[in-house]
Amino acid sequence: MSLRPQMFIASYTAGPIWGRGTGDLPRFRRSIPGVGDEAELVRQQTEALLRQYEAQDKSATGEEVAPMWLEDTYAYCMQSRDAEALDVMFRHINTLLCEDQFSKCNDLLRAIDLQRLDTHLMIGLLSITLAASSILPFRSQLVSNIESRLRKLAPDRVERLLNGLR
Amino acid sequence: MTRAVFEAEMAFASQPLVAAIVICRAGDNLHSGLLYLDTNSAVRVLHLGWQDRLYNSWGWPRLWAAPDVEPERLASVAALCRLIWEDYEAKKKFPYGLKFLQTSFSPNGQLLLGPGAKGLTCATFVLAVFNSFGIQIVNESDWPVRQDEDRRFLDRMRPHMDPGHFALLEAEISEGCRRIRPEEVVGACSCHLPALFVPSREAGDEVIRLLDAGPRPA
Amino acid sequence: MSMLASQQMSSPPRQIYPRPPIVEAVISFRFATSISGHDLSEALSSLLASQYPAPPKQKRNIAIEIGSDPLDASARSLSPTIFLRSADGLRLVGCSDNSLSVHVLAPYPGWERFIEQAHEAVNALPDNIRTGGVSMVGIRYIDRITLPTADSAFRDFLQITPITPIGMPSTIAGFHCSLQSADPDDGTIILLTIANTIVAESNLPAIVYDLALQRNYGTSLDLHGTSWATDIDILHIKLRDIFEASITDRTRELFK
Repeated sequence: MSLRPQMFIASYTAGPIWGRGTGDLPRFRRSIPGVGDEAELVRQQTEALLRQYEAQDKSATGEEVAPMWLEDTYAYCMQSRDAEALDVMFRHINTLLCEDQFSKCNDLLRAIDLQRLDTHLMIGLLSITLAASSILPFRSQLVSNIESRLRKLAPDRVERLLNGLR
Repeated sequence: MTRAVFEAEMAFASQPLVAAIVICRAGDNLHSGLLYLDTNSAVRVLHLGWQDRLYNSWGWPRLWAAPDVEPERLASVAALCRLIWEDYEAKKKFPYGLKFLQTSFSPNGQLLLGPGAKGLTCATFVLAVFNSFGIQIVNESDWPVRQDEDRRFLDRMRPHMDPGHFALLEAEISEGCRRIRPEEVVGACSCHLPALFVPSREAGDEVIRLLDAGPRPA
Repeated sequence: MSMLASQQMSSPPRQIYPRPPIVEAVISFRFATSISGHDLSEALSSLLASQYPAPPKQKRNIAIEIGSDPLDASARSLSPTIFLRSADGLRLVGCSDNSLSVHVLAPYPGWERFIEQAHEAVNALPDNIRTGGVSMVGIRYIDRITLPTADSAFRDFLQITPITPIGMPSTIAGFHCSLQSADPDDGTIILLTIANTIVAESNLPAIVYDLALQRNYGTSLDLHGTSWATDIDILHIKLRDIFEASITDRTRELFK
């Protein structure tokens, strides 16, 4: 019997161990790092499988992957290069909206990690999605989440920042 | 909020705001546009100009003012200007957020007004960009109908416009539309938003006085 | 009594194995306040110098962009992670942008010593970071279960190996499975990855069992109190319960 790791994907979402069944599962980015050899093995295998997966027709699985351009946005933001971060975000979100990919855009709004955005980017996100607010169901929750963040980051300016964007 | 100031007196790039409204006198006309920084921190002006085309450069002296909004809002407007220009150059169309204008551009870059579209002037283009991001510069319902003055303004613009666009604007004036003028848009920047007509008009008169006087010598 | 606390009380007694299969354990935090990995490492390295005297190591983080063609890929460098290291290299503290991770490598020192390591790291954080709190805490345990013989069947040691359909040989040659779920009651997100591998030294088959649990907070959790440690403790109990439910008695024999 061959014991080389001949990989295939068995990737699916399951209900929770405890409690009732879930509806819409939140996105789980692999955000807990590992340093050992086995962590590296898992990472390499996952990446190799993702490359195969990305090459397939995603519509067959109905699963969306958080786009890599988001990492560019986060990275620019971290370096205080807000103009570049906004450009990346605006360009991609505008493309989704112009192509009527509202469901995908809505999934994107769920996937965005607000902890990794500063006030410029959060306001930019609400601005670029304002015109489509009636067809992006998650946007109202996003407004609420951003408002919570702004109350910590800029408590004296929340209303002026969000005026016209709700 | 900022009062209008000449570029020669305060360079736009020397202060922290990244988007503003700019105005100049071009012959008998007043012309306005959006002043913003590109990602290389170069100063650009996006405006609807000659023959209903979009331009990203400005050859006239600049008198500019920034509306009374938070810096983050202006940063978004600047990014939108960059996107508008990028889409205009590449695809000759407005970004999604300006869909309400119901306009696009011909292959040679000239404005095409769709069915039901309102006419665009340089000033209303500026307002539309801010409006698309939830920033209402003026309270349009407070503006009076000024048909005679508007017709005179339109007559001066006629040589620079597509005949179809001119006809649309003329019809709107006849229907009693409230037209906001470039100096009033810049004047609104020194008011609390959305600005009302009276203070915007007063500030607009001051803008005209400044334009006529020119920048103060250094 | 809260659901979480009642679960804690109803969980079976903790199994402590003489030879646990744990090859790496991680406790992870994401901060609500921004701090670069570099500044974080600078702040911690002076306060934790005696615990982590070895020269720090830097690990590049890369964002991979993959096009529709598998060959069409590009990579961008993100800010690196700086690891403070113990003298023997088996305990580490990872400092990334807005994140802290505490690692132990085999041999696993036991939960009490591991959580104490996390306490030390948290206590050494700059005060503004502790005050700002965390938006996420998580734990990740990676186990390597080495099977006793070259022809050992995975199914004898893991309750959750994939089921082969009729017509496909039942002997599994290789697998890589990821399962993700979320607890609707407390929002805990669980990611389990199992895969097979071969132990290089012995050429024996092994199962990599990688289980991570994370808890996200809508409003941040202050790091001055002990709530974070309580939540991590609860995650640890859940993790342990899931692991015990995944293995067989034959597996437990391997850990004795």
